[in-house]
Amino acid sequence: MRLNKNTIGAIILTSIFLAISCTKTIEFKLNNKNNLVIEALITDSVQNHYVKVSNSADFYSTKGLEYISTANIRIFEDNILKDSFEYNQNGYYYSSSKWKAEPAKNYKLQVQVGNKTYTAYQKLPPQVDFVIEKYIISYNTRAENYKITLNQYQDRYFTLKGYIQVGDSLYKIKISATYKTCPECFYRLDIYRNDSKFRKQDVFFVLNNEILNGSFTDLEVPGYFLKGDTVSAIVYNTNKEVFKFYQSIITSKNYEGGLFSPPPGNPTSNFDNNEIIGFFECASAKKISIIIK
Amino acid sequence: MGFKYCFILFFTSILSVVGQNTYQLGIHFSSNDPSVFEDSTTSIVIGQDSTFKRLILLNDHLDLKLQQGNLEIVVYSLRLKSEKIKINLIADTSINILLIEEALSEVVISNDRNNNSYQLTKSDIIKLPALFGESDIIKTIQLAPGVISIGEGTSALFVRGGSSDQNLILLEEIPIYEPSHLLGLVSVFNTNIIERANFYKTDQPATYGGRLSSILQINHQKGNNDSQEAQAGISLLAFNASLNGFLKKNHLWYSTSVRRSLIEPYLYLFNLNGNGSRFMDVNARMDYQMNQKIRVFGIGYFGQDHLQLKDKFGLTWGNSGAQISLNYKISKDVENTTSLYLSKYKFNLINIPEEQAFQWDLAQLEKGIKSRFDIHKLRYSLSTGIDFNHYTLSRGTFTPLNNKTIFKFTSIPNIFAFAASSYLSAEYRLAQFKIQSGVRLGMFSSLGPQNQYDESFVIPEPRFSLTSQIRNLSLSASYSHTVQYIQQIVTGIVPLPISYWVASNKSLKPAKSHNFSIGASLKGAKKSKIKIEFYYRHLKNVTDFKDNAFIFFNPNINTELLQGKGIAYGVECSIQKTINKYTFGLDYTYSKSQRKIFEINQDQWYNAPYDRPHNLHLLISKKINLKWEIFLTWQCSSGRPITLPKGIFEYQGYVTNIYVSRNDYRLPIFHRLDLGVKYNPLPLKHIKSEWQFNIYNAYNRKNAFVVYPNVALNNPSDISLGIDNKLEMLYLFGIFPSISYNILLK
Repeated sequence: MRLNKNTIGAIILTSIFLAISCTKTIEFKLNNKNNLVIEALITDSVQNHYVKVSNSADFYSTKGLEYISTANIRIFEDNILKDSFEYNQNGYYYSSSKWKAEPAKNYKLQVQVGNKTYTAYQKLPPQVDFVIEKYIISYNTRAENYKITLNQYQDRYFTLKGYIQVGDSLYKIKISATYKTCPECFYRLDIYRNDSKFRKQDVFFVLNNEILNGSFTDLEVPGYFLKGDTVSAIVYNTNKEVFKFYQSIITSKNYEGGLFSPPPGNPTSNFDNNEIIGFFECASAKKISIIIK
Repeated sequence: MGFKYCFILFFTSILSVVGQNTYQLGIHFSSNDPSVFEDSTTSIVIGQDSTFKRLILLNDHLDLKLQQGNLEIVVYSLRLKSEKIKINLIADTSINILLIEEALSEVVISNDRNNNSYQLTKSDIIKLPALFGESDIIKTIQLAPGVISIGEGTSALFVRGGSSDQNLILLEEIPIYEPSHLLGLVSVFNTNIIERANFYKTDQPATYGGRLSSILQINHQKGNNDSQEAQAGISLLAFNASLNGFLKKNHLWYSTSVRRSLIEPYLYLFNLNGNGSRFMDVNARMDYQMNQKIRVFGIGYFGQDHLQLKDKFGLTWGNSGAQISLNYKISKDVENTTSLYLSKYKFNLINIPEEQAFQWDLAQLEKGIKSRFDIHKLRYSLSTGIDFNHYTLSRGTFTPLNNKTIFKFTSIPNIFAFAASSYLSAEYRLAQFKIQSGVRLGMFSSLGPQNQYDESFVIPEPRFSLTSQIRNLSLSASYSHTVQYIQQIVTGIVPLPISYWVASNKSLKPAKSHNFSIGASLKGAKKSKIKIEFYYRHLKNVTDFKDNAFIFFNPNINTELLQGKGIAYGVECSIQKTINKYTFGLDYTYSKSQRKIFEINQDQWYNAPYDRPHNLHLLISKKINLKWEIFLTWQCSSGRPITLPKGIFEYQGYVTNIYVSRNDYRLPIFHRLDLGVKYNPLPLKHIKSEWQFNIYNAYNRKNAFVVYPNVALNNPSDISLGIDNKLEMLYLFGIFPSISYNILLK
């Protein structure tokens, strides 16, 4: 379900060139530049919302990324202080109380790091109109037949390495769903297996209405599942700026050296400072869960 | 040094008396300095019945079809004093003209020198070593001074700091929008059909327009009036077959050729059935000489490529075109040529996986009429004419292919545009000077999806050049203003089959270029020649993409484009020398191309993606004997600019790159040695054949084509456990031997 149209042609044609070419590692001395990265999401679900603050790292850095634990973060609703965020771990800050974003309200996020304050504004988009019409759970195979593939799949698709063991019965899920298409409809999709978020190195699921028909039928969810697993999809309705932000990340991640793709750049942030990478995202969210029985 | 020639005329044979009033005149030239045949500085003017025909002397032989009667033949050259000889043509005739060198005694005048035109014949193209043994005009032009290739296996031209869409490629008058087969491995031009090609860089004459950087006009081979010829050839990549002859001698000639790739056996060999690629092209030309004044000719071209990746996708694309022209000699000095033409480019992309199955169809069409009047006098010539063009620039339709696909039918309305141009071009020779001047007045209207008016532009394009010949030294200076109203949306560095063209409108202004050049060339003894030319270009409304532009099937593509200014400057040097049987050619080009566009690169100047400052080409050839000839070419260039990450960041568990500035790094230096051996067995009575053995990239240099970041985590489940990022280099061709064979049956 890769829906980024920029990548369709690039992937097709890159695959041809890769078929006739060879690769090798090459060294360049890079003039690295460090930026502050802010990832913030509030939704219309009652919960503790999060902001994540980290520093970027050198391209050749072998260390993990550096998380910022000393930021001072506050959120305002129609210019009235709504809540503040408290540091948890790994750069994550959570709102001190559970609440939900309201339609037609204006939200302002202030992140203070050191003596600098960064501000971004957002409004809640309309409710998500996304309905799963049916789903099919099908027994696929036993894990021993796909030992090598499974290791790859566990690494690529979900964060829990070693979750699937040899001998497990594996299931696949196919989903049929409808969603509203309109000029203001920009969706983002997160898939979870239990509490583990679906991940693949180069994929965010983003959809909009330009060439999509508002439905999909028997679309296979990537990855394998075990009996008792809960498969969840959280659909976010965002806005065009957020959509373009994610699309930019996808383009940058898929950048193959400019052979077929347009020049890469950093995604455009809505924070009031060009040095910031990241976005304050306000989205309507809908969670749909299926239990493998 | 100088020359004086004397003519020794041998009416060697009267071959036959055929036809009613038209006879064959073969002129063989010989000289103790063969360079007079190679530098395009010598021309022949044939006068008959008060009409004149001028021909550039490119080799030591000319075959002409002329009416019975008295002829006057005049040889002009930079270093030859003009003299006349007279013949009464009453039968098929062959004559020899011997040019004898003597000490320089006088200043002579250049009559046909155009410093900015690069002329090629079929033999120029064939003799260079070629990838897969498939000789190619575009690859040959990529070796010309001032021309840059973006990388191996590509057919795009980048001329004097201009982008690939700034070159107008014409098959006679038919514009060819996608000149590549196999994504650029070979061009769409079958060498067999090429009679000659004229390549004008920025200083193009006013008779041409529509592109900023260059014009490549390829003349389709005419039919043979002497005999019926069949030719066939095979290389590792394709086979071709041609027929060439006449249907009615002296009146109706034809020339046709077909070429088809030979890739299927490789796929079978490597068990890749269901995958692969194929291409084919067909060319045809028919000439009809109605009478002494009227000649009609028609040209047709059809080419198609197909790429298939099993169960994934299929991509089909191709050009087709047709032209019909009427040449009418109004009087002894004046002729008119009127041409109607049509050029179509289309592609069809089918994505196969069920849930994403779609078909993307796109076709664009250019149709036009051109009428040109030429007046030829001994001292001056004038050309004037009008061109009308209509463009249908499609963005295509997007069709779902089953009920399960996530896509819906979408169609982006076509954009229509209309262009009209008139021009006047004059060339005047006065003493040591040759003056070329002209102006082209172009009008362009973008009509929008429903033919509603969008925007119109009327822009004059003056052109001027001056050439002076002082002894063996030729000096030149030129200025031209060129304008381009349609631009290609090229998604990456290489134009792809799925690239498309957009018209200038209210938000996308026409690109303009002011082009200046000065140059000098000096000829010495024994074919030696040194040439140097400086150029400077100032460009307006050059177009580039925003960062991370959203391009494919974007109905509002203009919102992803930005326009700004650009400069390009450089120097082109070439040295040619012949020592004994060795011919040496060394070309060096320094070429710089930069842009400044608001919102890109923090509004600072940045390198164009094809900015490769240093380019060196060396060609050495030796004719060992009548059978064997060897060639060596060596190329060395700066790497092209690339954009590399300046860091990494994490967002929602994904690690991706930080990009700060565009095109601020370069690929490693490119260099490659190609070797070729040509073997010509002694011709039999009706059969002539040729073998060519090539070694591409003889020392197996791994030249980087692209460099891309490979972001990897030590443990994908936990970013904090460390990162193992690399930059990967992709290279295309290592050492690659090839063989080709051609046979000609008469």
